[in-house]
This record gives sequence, structure tokens and C-alpha cells, in this order.
Amino acid sequence: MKENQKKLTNKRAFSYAALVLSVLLLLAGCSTGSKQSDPSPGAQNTSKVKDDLVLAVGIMDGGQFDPKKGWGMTQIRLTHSSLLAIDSDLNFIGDLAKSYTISEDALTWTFPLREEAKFSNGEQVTPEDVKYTYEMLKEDGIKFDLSFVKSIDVLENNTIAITLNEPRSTFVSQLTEIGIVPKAHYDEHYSENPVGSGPYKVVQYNEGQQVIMEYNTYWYGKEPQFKKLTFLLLEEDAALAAAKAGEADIVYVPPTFAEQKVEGMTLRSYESIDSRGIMLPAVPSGGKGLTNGKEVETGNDVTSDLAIRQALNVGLDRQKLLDVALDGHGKKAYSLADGLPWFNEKTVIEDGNIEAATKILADSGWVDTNKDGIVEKDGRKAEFDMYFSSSDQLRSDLSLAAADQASAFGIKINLIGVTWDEIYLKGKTAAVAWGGGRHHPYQLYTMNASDQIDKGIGNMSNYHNPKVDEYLHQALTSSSLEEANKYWKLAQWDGETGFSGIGDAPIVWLVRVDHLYLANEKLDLGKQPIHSHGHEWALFGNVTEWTWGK
Amino acid sequence: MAKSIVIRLIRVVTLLIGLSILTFSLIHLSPMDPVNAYIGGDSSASPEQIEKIKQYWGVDKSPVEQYLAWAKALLQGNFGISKLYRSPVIDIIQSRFLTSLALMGTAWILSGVIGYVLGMTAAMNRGKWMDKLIKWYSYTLVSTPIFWMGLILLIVFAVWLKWFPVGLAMPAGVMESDVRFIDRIHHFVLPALTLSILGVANVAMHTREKMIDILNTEYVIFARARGESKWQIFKNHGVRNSIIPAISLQFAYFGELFGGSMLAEQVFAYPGLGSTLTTAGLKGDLPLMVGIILISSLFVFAGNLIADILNKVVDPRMKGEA
Repeated sequence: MKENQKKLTNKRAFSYAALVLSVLLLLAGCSTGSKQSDPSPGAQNTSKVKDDLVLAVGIMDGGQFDPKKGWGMTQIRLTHSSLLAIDSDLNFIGDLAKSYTISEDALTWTFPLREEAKFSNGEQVTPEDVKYTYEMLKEDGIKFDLSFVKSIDVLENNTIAITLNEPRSTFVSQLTEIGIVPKAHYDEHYSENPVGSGPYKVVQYNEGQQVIMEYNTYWYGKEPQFKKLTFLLLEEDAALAAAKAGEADIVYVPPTFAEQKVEGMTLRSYESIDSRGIMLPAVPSGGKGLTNGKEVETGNDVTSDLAIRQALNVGLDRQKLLDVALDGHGKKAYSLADGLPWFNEKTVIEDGNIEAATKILADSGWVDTNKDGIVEKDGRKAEFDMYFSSSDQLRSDLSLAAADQASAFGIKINLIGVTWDEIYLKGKTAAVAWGGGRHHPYQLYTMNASDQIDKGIGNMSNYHNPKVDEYLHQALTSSSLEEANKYWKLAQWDGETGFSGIGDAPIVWLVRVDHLYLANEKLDLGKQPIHSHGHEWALFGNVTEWTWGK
Repeated sequence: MAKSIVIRLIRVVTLLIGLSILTFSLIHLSPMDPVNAYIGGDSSASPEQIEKIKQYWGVDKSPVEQYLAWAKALLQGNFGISKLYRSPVIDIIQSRFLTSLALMGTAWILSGVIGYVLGMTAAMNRGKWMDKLIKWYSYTLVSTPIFWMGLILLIVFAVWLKWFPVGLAMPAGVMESDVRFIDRIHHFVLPALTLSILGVANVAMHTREKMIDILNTEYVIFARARGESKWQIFKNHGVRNSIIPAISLQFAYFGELFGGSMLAEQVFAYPGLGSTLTTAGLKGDLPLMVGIILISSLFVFAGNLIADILNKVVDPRMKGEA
């Protein structure tokens, strides 16, 4: 590897030197000769089945194939396998583990591993590798929080058992997102030569340019049709240019580009749980708190009034927001779990109802007495600041549209576009354009439980409802997913209280963003599960099922 | 001569110290928080984890301590480890530098040669259509932002005509060992062209001005009176008198070249120092950022130093001055 690198560098240096000269010649009148000779992906040979793909779906190399650096979520499906996986109906199923059992006290999870699982170098995947991976990540503690894991034991018959300090139903999220690395080949240079047990192996990685992957012949699952995947690491606009130049088979597109037509490609739209909403401080001003370990001020005297938050939830017209900010490419959102097994459907309401919003406000004493278009209560105007990430087109558009709508029922929102760093500093004193959404319910806990206040960027609203806390805790420590889902639903709304929009509404969820891609019309991307957060890699959950039709 | 070089070397050392302190303080004063950048906008890191990250990024120490620790390591030849890529800064810079150097080198030579020729042509044909055309071209280009120029070239040559690829430094999906030399050139043309086109205008206008001054001198009028042709005047007086300022300008142009390449690399997703510096800056990767800034300033300084030395070598009159 190193030898090769050296040779390459020398070769490269030489070729660059020659390059300078030849470009001079070239422009002095020599022509480049024939047209490009390497076949572009668009011009495929009809006589054989196409077995390679070029994708420009964004900067998908975050984490550089190393779970310790953050290679996780659906990204890992390309190169690694995890103990469990999610199928297209959102069931948690075995992947490296044939199955799993949870002990009576819900503290011990046992996983018998597949015997036929091998790494891309042909070596067997052993329970020791699993143990090593989890212990290494627990110790690092930055990208995956495994602090609740007590011990990991290798048992007989190729089985591993993980014991927890307390029951945790959301453990499935880590079990599906942690790719297993080989103990024998893992060190700080792992990114340069990653060895995994997924369907593909990285054969070349040019940072900032492309990642080339080839089929891993030792892969234990279904043989994919595409034996070679090339990922171009391009931003949205450059990706679209690549599509138009016929250089890519799949590109990701933001809603603003959705109307772009590219010959031979069709727009694919996938429903997602990638949600956006407005986070509102639930406590009055004057407090102190922590965001990502930094001391900040907390609270807002307007948004801490429940009537204001509930009025926004019922008064904002989600369909109109979708039409304005996303060109209609999305779905309504009511509580960060829409359409998932732990979603409480009672939280769905008739929104865009200005009368209802006005009534909620008036009942609580918010009335426009001086006829300036803004309601007031005890001499205080219903006016507050709202921060959004200025580099995020979608959040900008959404914030503008929401502020515009809110003025119809007398709430004035002053928009401020800043960087995330600024948002984290000021975010607990004002509204924030917030986002989230996962294939697992853990975020319901981190965003709404009172013991998450001041932890990282958890519960930015400083929301505290003992009843909700109780439900959330019960959900987290349930011994089965069914039981957990029951409590997640109760935490949203139990008929009297809850954290959803019809309850305390610390976060008013508004829309879910559809993930849009332009893909070659012959390409079949299989049955995609509802997408989670992450436009760049949400597609890869079923990468082995993709086919090239006629 | 030797003395002036020594003085300059002392100057560069102080310059680098000043620069590194400035970069450090700017980053410290900016609202940018490397911890936030590292965690990302969508996580639930526990306080213990945040503490660990703070230690990892060294933000729990005072800025002075951070700076001294870094400077000490640098004196031992250690640029530190990039926080983002978790690999040695010097390795990252090495791999990117070559790519950038090829780009800037080509642009530099092209803009120098073409700019000089155009400037000369304009001056020798002052007031005629040729001069007007060159002047119009230069003024237009000087006021064109480089990234916009890049985008235009990209749309025309890559998307419409499909003559050149839309980005990257090598063809997609081809193994490093199979990339042919012609492929590299193919990917290199548009970014290099973008960078050259704009450099030309600068050199051309300066050369034109200088040459016009020369053409108005008494010795040129005398030469004309003696019946020297245009070509002879150009050869005997024009070149020798105008080449020095042109060369100085060309070497002093290193700095602008750097700024330009940063934008051009962004447009064409061409992985050089410029695009790496942008990433490092946006993510608060201090060691990588300071490393690139120091290397680039050395580069720019070297350009100016060469210009000075060349001036002395070419022009005996400059010898006495430091």
C-alpha cells in the first residue's frame, strides 16, 4: 500500500510537471485529438447487463468508513454489516446476528452470529470483532453513546451477549447503525484501507473527489446486480451539472431543482421522516442553561405561554408551507414520528385554522386591543425572534412562510438568519427552525425529556412535564418494542397532556421533506423504506436490491 | 545582495509568527465553535462526551496555552494532526499542494506569457482597433468574478458541448493506476483556463501602460528618427525595459493566484489546497487551517523574493538598494 503510494506520488509529480508543458503546447495549437474515449455511464453497451453505477448524491464520505469517525446510519449498509438491520417495513431484523433475544429483566441482549459472515479479506466475522467494535466505540464515546452498556461477553456457539446498566428499548438504534470492524485490522489508518463485512468494499478513495466501491465476493447476502459503484463527492449544483452532462446515473436534488428535466432521467421522490419544525422555549426568560457544554441564557416570555405554542400548531397551514417552501415535495408533520410504528395518530389535527388559533389566544387573554395587528396580553405583545440556519435554503424558506402565516392570527415573528454556532448560543431564548427524524424513537426522548435539558443540544425548549417524563422513561426502559411504542404514543398525547402539538407543543412540527433524486429511467431502486435524516445516504438501505431494467 | 536576502529571511520568520498569532486569535474570536462543528446539528451527545470532545479539540485550555503548545510542536517539524481528517496535517497539505501547484503553475505561465504579448500588442498599436479590443477584453475580465467565469465555462463546455468533464481531477470510476495522462489533462483544462483567463487581463494592462511610457521616452523617439522599424524598436528597447516590471508583477501575483485558485477549485470540485482550506475554515479545523495558511504565505513570500532577486540580477541599477 505505502510502496504503491510512493510510486504514485512520484508518477503524479512527474505527470503534473509534464502537464504544465503539454497544456502550453495544447493551447499553442495542438488539438487534443479524438473525443473522450472512456465510455460515459449514459452510453452503455446494450449487449451486456450494466453492472456499474455512478452516483452523485452529495458528500457521502463523512466518517470515512470508520464508525469511530461517524460512519453510521444507512451509510454503513454499503461497506459494513451491523448486528441488526431495518427492513422496508421498518421491522428490526437480524443482519450479522441471525436473531436476537432479550432477557426477562430486559438487561441482557443475546445475539447468535451468522457462521457464513466474512470480511472483505475473507476472514470470518467473530464475536470478538463485535466485542472489540462496541468496546472501542464506548470508550471513544463521541459518535455513539454507549454509556448504558455494562459489559459485553463472548459466549459459546458464535454468540455474543451485551448486558446493560438499565433496560433500554432504543438500543436497537445503535444495533442497526454500528458497523462491525475487524479487530485484527483496525487502527488509526483504518480509513485508508477499510475492511468490512458489507456487500461492497472500498477499492479507491480520493478524498474530496470520489469513492469507488466494488462487490465484496465474500458478502453473505444476496449478490447485487451492480458490481461497481462510483460516488462523486459533489455538492447539489455540481451534481445536477454532472447529470446534465450525462456523467451520473443517480443524483440528489433539492426541492428547488425538482422541476429540472434531464434527458433519460426521471425524478424519484421518497417519503421521509426528515422533519422540520419550530422549537419554542417553554419557560419564561431569565434562566441559565448549557448548550453543548457552553453556558447560555434561557427562556422567552412570549413563547412560554402555552396558548402561543398551541395557536401556532393549529393556525399554521402545513400544506401551504409545503407548497411555498418545498414546491409540494413533502408531507405534513405533527410530532417527529409521523407514519412510524410509535406515532400517535390522535395528534393529527385540522390545521391552518385561523379561527381556532384566534380563539385559543383570546381565551388565554391575548387580544389585539390597539388594532396594530399584533395580539397582546398584560401589555406584552405576542412578538418573538426566530433563528434559522442561513446556509440552509429550506429552513430559510420555511421560516419566512411560517412567519408570514402567523401574522394572520396576530403573532409577530422576527426572523434572524445566522450560523449554527450562533443558534446554539441564542437558541434557548428564542424560536429556532429545528429538524430531526430517525428510524428509531430515541429523539422523542432527547428532545422532550426534562433530564435531557442542558445535555448537548437535547431539549432546547427546557420543556418539563412530569407526566411526559414518566411515559418517556417507561418507553426507554421497556423490555419490548411493542410496550415501548405504547408509551411513546402516550408521551405524545394521553388524552390530557403530552409533548405533541395538541399538548404542550414545545416543538411545533410542520413538514417532512421528501428526498428527491434524479435517476436513470432504467434504474429500479427497489422498495425503499421511509427515509431517515440524511439525503446523502438514505438511499443505501437496500443497495443490494437495485436493478437495471430494460 | 546576500545581506538583503538575510534581512528578508528574518522578515519572513516574523511574518509567519505574526500570521499564526493572527489566525489563532481570529479563530478564537469568531463565534465558530469546533465542538459544535464536530458534533453536527443533529445529535444527543452526553455531557461526558462533550467534555471528551472539548479535550480532543483543546478548547478547554486558554488560547495562549493552545498557541504555545502548537508552536512548540511546529518547531520540531510537527504541523499537528488535522481534527477533521484525523491524519497528519503535513500529509494532507502534501497531497493537495501538488494538485494546486499544477493548476496555479499553468495559469501563472499562461497568463504571464499571453498577458505580456497582448499588452505589448496593444501598446504598439495604440488607439487602433486591436488596442481597443484588447482593452475592452481586459477591462471586462478584470471586473469579472472568478467563480462566475468558472460557472460560465462549466455550463458552456461541460454541460452544453460536453467537451470537458464537469469537475474532479480524474475520470469517475477509473482506478488510480488506470488513469491515463490525457485524462488528467482533460479534467485539468477548465479550472486552469478559468484561472488563466482572469490573470491575463491584469498583466496585459500593466504591460500596456509600461510600454506606452517607454514608447514616449526620448531614446525611442531618437530610434524612430534613425529609422528603426516597429519590430526593431520593440526588440531593442521595448522588451528589455518592460520585461522587468512584468516579471516583478508576475511573481508578486502569487498571492492573487492563491485566492483565485480557491474559488476555481470550489467551482470545479478540484481537490487542491484552496478547497481544503475552505473546508478547514468552515469546520474550525485549526491545525489544518494554520498549516495551509503558513505554507501559502511562504509560497507568496517566495514569489516576492524571487521577483526582488531577479530584478537585481537583470538590472544592474538595482544592486545597491536593499
